[in-house]
Amino acid sequence: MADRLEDVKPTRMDLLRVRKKKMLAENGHELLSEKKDALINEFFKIVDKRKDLRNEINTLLKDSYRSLMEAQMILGKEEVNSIAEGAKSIEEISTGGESIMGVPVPSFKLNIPDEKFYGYAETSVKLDESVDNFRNVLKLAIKVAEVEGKLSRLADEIEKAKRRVNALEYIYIPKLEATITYIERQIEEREREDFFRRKKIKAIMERREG
Amino acid sequence: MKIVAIGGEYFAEGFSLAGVNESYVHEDEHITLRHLTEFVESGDVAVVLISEYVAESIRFELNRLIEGKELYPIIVELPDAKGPVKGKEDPLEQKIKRAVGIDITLKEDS
Repeated sequence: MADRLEDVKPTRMDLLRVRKKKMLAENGHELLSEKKDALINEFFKIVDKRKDLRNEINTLLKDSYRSLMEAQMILGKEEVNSIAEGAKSIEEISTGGESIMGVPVPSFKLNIPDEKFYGYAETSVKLDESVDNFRNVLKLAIKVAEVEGKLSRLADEIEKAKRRVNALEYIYIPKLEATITYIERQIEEREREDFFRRKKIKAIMERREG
Repeated sequence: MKIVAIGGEYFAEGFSLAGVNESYVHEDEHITLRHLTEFVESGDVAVVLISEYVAESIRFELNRLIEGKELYPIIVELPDAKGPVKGKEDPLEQKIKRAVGIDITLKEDS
């Protein structure tokens, strides 16, 4: 049998108190396991999304590297390098406060500039292509970041919820149950003692009178 | 907040063409790690794009950084110009496994 709670006296008062506690724990357990299930549900949706995004970005990256290499071959490494240095950078990436079932998760808003930042005359169409490609990669990469950030937060949260559910289910609630049986038995025992005592006294009294 | 990229030459150059705020060419592990620590501590970096090869070479330290960070920055590993690292373990996959107790494999279509 599981351990019982400490400092509980076998009285009716405490029995009521422990029963109330047990009810609370059971409610909590139910709520928590519902939360856990909902989190896992959400989690699997995002796992699928991540798989698609990863595949997409990997193929796109391959093309992007190829076009960048081609641009370098046509324009020369130095030229591309200096263009890259002068590239217009994104203004700000803003982070929104999104949350799934009360778990804060990352989310981003991003404006990637689409104007050209170099002269057409001295560059090649390959460079345009690779800039476009990498901009698309960046867009996808932000999405991947969002999704993976969500996943890792959710994973942590699921683990936490699981631990709590298990603690309630396997430790706390059995402990309360053991305490309840203990108190009930103690009270019964006392009642039997009382009953016996009364019988005895009655017998003694009858003998004296008789 | 900012987006930064660390990786091989093509990786860094490609992303700086796309317009990341800062991009660094990976030279050696110490410098890269110093940059990464800075990003994590600055609180101003939202996303770090890192090449898989670089990430593999500093896997242990990288994991420790990820464990200790807040919500941001999010570190995303992407394949380098040499292609994806073969036989690499997906760090997120392990986390997924631990969380839900089952294995979900990410199939690569080639």
